Amino acid sequence: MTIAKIEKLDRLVEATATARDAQSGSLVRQSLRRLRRSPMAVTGAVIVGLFVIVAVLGPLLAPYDPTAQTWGREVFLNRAIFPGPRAENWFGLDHLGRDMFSRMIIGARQTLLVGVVATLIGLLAGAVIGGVAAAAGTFGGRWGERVEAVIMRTVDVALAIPMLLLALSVAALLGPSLSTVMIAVGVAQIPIFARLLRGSMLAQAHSDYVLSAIALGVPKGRIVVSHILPNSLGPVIVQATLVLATAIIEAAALSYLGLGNPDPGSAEWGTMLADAQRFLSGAPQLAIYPAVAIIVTALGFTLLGEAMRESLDPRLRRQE
Amino acid sequence: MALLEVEDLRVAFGAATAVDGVSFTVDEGKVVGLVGESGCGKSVTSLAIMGLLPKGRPGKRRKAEPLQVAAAEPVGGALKAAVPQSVPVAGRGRKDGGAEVNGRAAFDGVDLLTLAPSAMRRKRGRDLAMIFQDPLSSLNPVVPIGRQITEVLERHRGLKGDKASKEAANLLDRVGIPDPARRLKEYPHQLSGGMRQRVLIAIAVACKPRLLIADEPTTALDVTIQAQILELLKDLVDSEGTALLMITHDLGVVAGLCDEVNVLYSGRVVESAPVRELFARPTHPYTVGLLGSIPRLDLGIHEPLTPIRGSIADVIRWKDGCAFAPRCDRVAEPCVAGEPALVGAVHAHRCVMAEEIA
Amino acid sequence: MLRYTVKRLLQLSVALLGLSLLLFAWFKALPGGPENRLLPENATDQQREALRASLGLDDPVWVQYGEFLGRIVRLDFGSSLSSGRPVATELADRLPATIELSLAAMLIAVGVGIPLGYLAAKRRGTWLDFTAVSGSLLGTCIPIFFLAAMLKVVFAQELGLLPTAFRLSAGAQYTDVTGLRVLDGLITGEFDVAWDALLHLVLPAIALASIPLAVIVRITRASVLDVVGEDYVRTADAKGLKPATIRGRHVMRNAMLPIATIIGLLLGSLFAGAVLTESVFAFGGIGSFVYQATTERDYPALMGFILVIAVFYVVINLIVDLSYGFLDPRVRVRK
Repeated sequence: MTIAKIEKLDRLVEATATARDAQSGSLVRQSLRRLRRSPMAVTGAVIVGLFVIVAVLGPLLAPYDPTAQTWGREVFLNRAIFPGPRAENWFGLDHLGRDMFSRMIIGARQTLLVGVVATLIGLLAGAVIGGVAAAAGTFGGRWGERVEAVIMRTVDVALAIPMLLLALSVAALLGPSLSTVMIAVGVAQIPIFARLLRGSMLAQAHSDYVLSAIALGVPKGRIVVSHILPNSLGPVIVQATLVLATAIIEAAALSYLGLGNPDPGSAEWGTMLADAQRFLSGAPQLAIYPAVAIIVTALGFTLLGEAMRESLDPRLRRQE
Repeated sequence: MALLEVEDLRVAFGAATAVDGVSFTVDEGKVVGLVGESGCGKSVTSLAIMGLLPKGRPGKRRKAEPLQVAAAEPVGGALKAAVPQSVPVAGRGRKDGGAEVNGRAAFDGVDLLTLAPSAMRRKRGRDLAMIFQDPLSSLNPVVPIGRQITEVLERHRGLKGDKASKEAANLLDRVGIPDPARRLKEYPHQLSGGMRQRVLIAIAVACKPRLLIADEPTTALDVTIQAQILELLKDLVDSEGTALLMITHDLGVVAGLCDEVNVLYSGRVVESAPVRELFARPTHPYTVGLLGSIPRLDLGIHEPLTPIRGSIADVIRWKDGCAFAPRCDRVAEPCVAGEPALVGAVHAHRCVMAEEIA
Repeated sequence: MLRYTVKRLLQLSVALLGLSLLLFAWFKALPGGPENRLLPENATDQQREALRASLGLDDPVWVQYGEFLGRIVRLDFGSSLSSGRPVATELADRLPATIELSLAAMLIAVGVGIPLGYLAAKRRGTWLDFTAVSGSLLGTCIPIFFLAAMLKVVFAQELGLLPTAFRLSAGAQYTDVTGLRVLDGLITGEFDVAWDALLHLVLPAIALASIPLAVIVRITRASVLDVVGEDYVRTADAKGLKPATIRGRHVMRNAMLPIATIIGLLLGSLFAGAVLTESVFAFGGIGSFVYQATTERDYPALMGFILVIAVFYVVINLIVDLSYGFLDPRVRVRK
């Protein structure tokens, strides 16, 4: 599904390239000001902020041990009857008699961890690949161009594989675990970031200020590190925000496919949602809590990312 | 009776006024110029007459852009106006925030501004047609030019199939495009800029309209092509007896083509006269300024051009005084003492100091 | 146009070759090497040797790759570890179900998404626009398997409006023509079968359509907004054309360019989404098969699946590219 965003990626690159030609400092400030006024951005930021706070403070907020079970007293797994929300357990108990509220709160941390690590894997690896390709293509002469061509064709091939499949094949190699999910989702993002960063850097490389730096005889390495790279980061940050949303959803899907954390004690929204599928008709609340949490969090990152993208895109700005 | 009678036309986008009470007439078969700098409201005027401005959504309008109005400070040389960033211009670029159009634009006695949309659609392209500035972006890139011509013929003249194609080829031939039958199948990107403008003209004259509005038809073209296109327009208008409303910033175009001229400044006519009269005795200081900004061969090489100071964004509201006052060399007390009226009949101007200057 | 097509085909074959390399590397990297995956745990060294020899695992890597390619071209992906049947047969049996489901989902997404996106653009700033945009943002954020499961619980189990699983009711007699049950029913005149199949298709198709629908609404809206501001639309208006003509010939024909690209890309990712949807509804397509293969680490099956999907995806990309040439004369006709 992220593949559908390629068009947007290219547009994002285009947008920031033109925007950078204007004064960069004021542009960032302008974008920030526009962001603060956008209800989309504010809603997204509030959701993301709450999510991060819960994730960080998790253990302090949770009233119970998320793994403590109350077997036999109230929970009857075989009849799929679980206590619903009540005063001492706000969200009720799950199929093993654990406090759902505590699990949800602790789960935020795991979910954030999965999302952030996966995104970082994709971002860093993608940035290295895309950066090398762009730098080689721009400054490496004839051989550099060939290196770039080979890298980018390979990236295109990887892009041609739907993300879930890429994640599936990685997960198949590594066996089920939480790190599998993180790596699998992260690897699936690599080609997207590689393509984005390369496009962004190329747009910078052909911009007037880089051309004038070259004309002034600034060493090529320094141009890449101190001019091109920092100025290419805008779209990457936007994309990373959007990918965080996708990563959380994809991680849930992998958990559902049984590739997630095999430890039944762990509290992670994706795993919880996957586990709860069995009890959907008898105790839908077990699925609904983590599902709503995932949806809202993903929505928060999406809103924030889309708002950032729009604030950078002059084509959209013109329509405002 | 005049073919087109525009009376007190006002167009506002939210709080920003683009056209502020424009009045002029176009007589049958005459060529009338509408002249001014970009931002003076000439394009908006033409779009308003054609009914092509974005419709306003009552109650749902977006926040208006900052109005380019500066407070009129007391006169005494200190007529300095702040220069705001944005100048409200044509409908293009303002996709929402519809236009509020008031006044009258009578075509053959029928007010176009109050006409039902469907009735207006039947008139557009048939009785009155328009030629736009940028011929590349004004043609649909994915439709063959032949189809773009025949669709007008089909709509207003009921021509279909081969008949329509044949007529389209005739039209292309008439606007000077060689090998018209082959060109019909081509797409806009395959034609040169001049050819594209010829196609647009062919579309506009396809139904022999009684009024043709040309909005800066040569601005986007090379100089040599410009002359050809103007020649073509003149030729078409003369032979068909079509009235032409020529919108331009180029006084050279006006001199070569127009019978009458209206000079627009900040959304209002400041001077209106037959073309010879205007060039011989420009009265309003703005007209004088426009004429002074044109490089002339008959002046010595060391004689400097006299550009108009400031920009069109430096204005005051017409109801407070002359909008041109902040940029005018001859500004005086009376200029900002209320609304200046348009005086004179054949040669009319809107300058309270005209007598003194003369 | 011919040169364009040839160029595209060449690029695609390079992409496919690269993909086969990736897959080969993947296959080699499987934990314990392929032979351990293909043999029972208690296999003797002799068996191991024999298999290694038969798989050519002792040959140089490039020979192995050649063999690998050869087998792929012959559609020989080996046998499924769980069923023992050839993977190619398993896939071929299940492909029609997935195609039917994906097509149905795409029909919903296109049929609802394009008009909705158009309306949202036309009524920009109204409640309809707001609903469409926020709905489509939400649509991309709902885990597809959860949506599928909820639809199933609510509409099939609780309300009993639609069947809960499978492609046809138990014991239904049908004639197989194309493998697409609804189409088959219509072709053979067994309208009750077609209707039954359609009912079974509704819920999974809606679940699967959620993401493409969301994407299409947004891209249509953005694209239409771009186009209606173009000068040529104003020209069309100045010609006094009927609104329907302006909408069809001038707005939508241009707005379709980015939409067509996205639709192609979405078709590929639909297959991935089918894995999740089909398992919820026991739909019996490739998706269910892969779900099983994943949980049971059935590598030959997984590899075959990835390859089939990738080829499908690449072919769809080709079709999109070519249709782009068809839709946009600037690509097709050079100056």
